[in-house]
Amino acid sequence: MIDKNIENKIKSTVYQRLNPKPHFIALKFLVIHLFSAVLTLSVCPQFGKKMFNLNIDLMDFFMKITGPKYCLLLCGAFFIGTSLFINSILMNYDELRTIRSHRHLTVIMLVLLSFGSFLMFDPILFLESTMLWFAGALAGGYLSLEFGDFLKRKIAFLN
Amino acid sequence: MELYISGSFEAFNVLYERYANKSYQYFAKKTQNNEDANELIQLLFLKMHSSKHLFQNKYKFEQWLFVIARTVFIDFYRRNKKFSYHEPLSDNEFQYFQEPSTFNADKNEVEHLDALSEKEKEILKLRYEDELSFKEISELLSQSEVSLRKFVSRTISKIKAKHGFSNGVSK
Repeated sequence: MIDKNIENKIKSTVYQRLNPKPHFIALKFLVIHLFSAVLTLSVCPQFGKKMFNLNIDLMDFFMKITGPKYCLLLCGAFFIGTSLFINSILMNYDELRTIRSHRHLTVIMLVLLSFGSFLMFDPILFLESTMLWFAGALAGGYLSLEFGDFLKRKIAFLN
Repeated sequence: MELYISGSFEAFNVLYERYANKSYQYFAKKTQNNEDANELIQLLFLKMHSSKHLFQNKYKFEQWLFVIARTVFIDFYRRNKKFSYHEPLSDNEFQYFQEPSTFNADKNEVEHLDALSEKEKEILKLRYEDELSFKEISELLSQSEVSLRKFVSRTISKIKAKHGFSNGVSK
């Protein structure tokens, strides 16, 4: 017979893992986003702001694809998309499930938080460029969340 | 399973109630030790939980759980190496996990395994189902690695001869 204590331990552990604490997920999410922001800002400036002076500049590459006006679409998609993709990989499946169940809130809050941070460094941002960056960021965010979930369900070592 | 993957604890409870005792019986028979069997049950369900989203509907749940159970047991044995087999393996271990109505042994496997002795069946299963190395099997059964290799080679030749295989080509 299975020991009752073991049974209770299994059930309580699974219950806790199925229902991760929201504040813990939020904190983990923000830490990962910070790490991702440092990484992406090193290779692709956002609104003219770059983290380190490395030789890699993805903005030039994006400009060649879309032209100088619409490169903000790809910059925004890259910044938010990378953050959400890394979050999808580093979070466990139950944490990711919780984030995806509040995907609209998560993506919109992340985009607003990031934009607010850039605004702090440069209060003068033009409306058109802002809208383009927003559109790219939202699209990149949603796509990355779904792609990350898809990969997690297919590739065992990502878990 | 879909409900469980979506986060339903009640769905997990249903699966647990259905398969916990069967899994325990499987581990208890393998280890002949209640403490080890309890530890293995814990490892099994936690590993099942970590991998739940990798489950695909095209497989039967009990088959998937059985594969995890076998992996958990092999990892546990390799880490601890403190127990040995007390009796030969049964012809089909998977029956511990199956509902009686779904049990359907492969006829060809049963036919050709029946021609082998208990010892031959046991060693082949340790090598090819449980995927233990010859070194691990020799420690388990207290036999030399060299003799085990020769034994397995002779057994495979015996199976090939019985089914009319010659240089890999069926007659």
